[in-house]
Amino acid sequence: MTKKRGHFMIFLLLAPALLITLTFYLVPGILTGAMSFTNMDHRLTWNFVGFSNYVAMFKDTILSRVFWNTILYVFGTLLLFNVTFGLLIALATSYIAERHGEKPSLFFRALWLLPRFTPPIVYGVIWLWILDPTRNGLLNGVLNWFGQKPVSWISEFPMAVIVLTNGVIGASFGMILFYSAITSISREYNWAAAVDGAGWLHRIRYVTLPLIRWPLLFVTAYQTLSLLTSYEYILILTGGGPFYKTTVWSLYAYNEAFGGYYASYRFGYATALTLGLVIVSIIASVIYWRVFRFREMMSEPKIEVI
Amino acid sequence: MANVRLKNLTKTFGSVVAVDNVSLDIPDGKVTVLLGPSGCGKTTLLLMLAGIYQPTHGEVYFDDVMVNGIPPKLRNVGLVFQSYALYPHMTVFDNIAFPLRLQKVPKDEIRDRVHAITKVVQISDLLKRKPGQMSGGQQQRVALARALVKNPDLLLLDEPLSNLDARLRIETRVEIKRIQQEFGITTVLVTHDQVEAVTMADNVAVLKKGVLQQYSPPEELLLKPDNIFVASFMGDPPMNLLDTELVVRDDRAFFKCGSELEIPVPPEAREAVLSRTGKGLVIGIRPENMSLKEEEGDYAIRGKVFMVELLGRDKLVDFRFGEVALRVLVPADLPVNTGEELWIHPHQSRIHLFDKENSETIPIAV
Repeated sequence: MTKKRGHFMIFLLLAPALLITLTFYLVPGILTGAMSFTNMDHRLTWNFVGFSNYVAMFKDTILSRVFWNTILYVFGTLLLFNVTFGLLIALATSYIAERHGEKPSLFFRALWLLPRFTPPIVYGVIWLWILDPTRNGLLNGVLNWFGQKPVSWISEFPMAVIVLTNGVIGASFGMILFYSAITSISREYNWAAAVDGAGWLHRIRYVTLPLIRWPLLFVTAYQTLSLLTSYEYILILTGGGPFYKTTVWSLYAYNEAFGGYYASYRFGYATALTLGLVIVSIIASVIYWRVFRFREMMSEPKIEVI
Repeated sequence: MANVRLKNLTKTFGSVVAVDNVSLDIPDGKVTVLLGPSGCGKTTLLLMLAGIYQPTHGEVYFDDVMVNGIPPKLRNVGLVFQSYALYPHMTVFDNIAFPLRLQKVPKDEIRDRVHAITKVVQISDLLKRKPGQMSGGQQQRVALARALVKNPDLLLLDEPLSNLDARLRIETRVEIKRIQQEFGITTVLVTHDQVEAVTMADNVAVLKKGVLQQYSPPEELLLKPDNIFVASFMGDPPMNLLDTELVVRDDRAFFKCGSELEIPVPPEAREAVLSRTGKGLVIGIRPENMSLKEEEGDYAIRGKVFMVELLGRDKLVDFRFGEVALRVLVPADLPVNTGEELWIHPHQSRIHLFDKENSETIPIAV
């Protein structure tokens, strides 16, 4: 086969994937980029206005509030639930598996996986019922049982509500990865540590955690990025309110574009916001890449030689 | 240091009996080897001594204190795993210091003790390395240092040599023995390798399917095996074990094996064996306990050489008597040719006899 024909073959084989990438990713990407330099609104006209959308972003007082909401939401959900709580379930279920067999452990893990399988609208509605401000809500029903007054959970603790609802879903991702990582640790490490004088807390601290370091870092980085762009549960539960209290960056862009809560159809400004979020995501990725030294994980297999 | 006593120890996993009613006295300051083929329960037994497994029945005593239910961290034992189980994320120093740190030993003392023990096992120059950067032999020394650094009452070694190559194995064998004697520490070693057992042990406990077969000094395992299993497991090349029955003809007694082989019963043994006439017996003679000669002798057997196998220093000569094979070990320089007819002279005092029914040894007074 000549060199030229070789190149042609390569191109031919890559063509389907390239085509899909071009049509559904690159072209919309470029269009979005272009749109961010227009003041497009519900009339959908391409009216270029230079950098004015970006200038507006820096002057937008709501955006700075949205920024801090985003930080609170992403890292709150991540640290409390996606990593920490996921790790706790993984540790607990792996302990159950070791002591009482695989079946009860599987039951509890499946239980935590249920929210993942539930359609978002259904999941959101379930939470709306749980958190309903009247006595008909689950939580307030329980409070009523004890003779307490009902609490309007969503308007009083909006940020806590969206962190909790996202976290209950998000924890299962970490749980699955951590569980498989924990159970793949050779039993002998734990035995050695037990003989060396380590109690279970020491074993988690000195054996388990260091040996599942890579899955821990991976889940942290991956979930940061997916939380940055996720807003569907917030949209369902609070719509971003009360008064921007739970509006995160991606939801802000959505609301600017498609209205909903504040009905504005400002497509030009919304796309500029989206590109801003992409830049934030890239910065976060680079920081993770550097700080967590992901290059090490990517370049050599991390299977520990026994 | 400690005496260790096992009393009717049993461990079951579901319906599988891993260790079956084993009683042992492990003497203070000695090396006791648990020997047996894989799956015989020897590692399970070791893990019960460490406190990692709890016995299903029976008791473990350290110096008359019952330790059932006492967790590993309170038993003061040092354990070296077959895989070494060095913490891969810690340096050699941190690995060895780990048990001391957990005991909250002061920093200076940790440093001194780690340095002292690494000098003994000769890895002083490797302290900053991680386990992944060392050879199997070096990792093994680190594992040994980690087990010894806390001055344990009992040292447990699980197949310590099986991951090393042949040459290193011989070196390490000597090394472990030296260190054991230097510390005078009670040691229990698990192995499936009889050479390892015989060279390192003061006493050997042979296990089969969780049941203790024989517990004795290593020489006795070879000279006085208690049953057919021990006889066949010990010794290399393995003992000739032949189904036989006693026949008496012309006032002379023979062990008749198959249709063509008759081994004369030595006169000293006649008394003991005559009562067994007609019963199922197994005769055992080690290949090295026979010699080959041109000349006939009182209790010699005439045989035709079927095959000769050179084993280095020795030669294994294979005789066939119909369906029965008899192998004789001779020095490599003895000229023996296939097809040649020779006289086989069993060493009369080295003939073993077993009851076929319960496989136990029948003492022959010689």
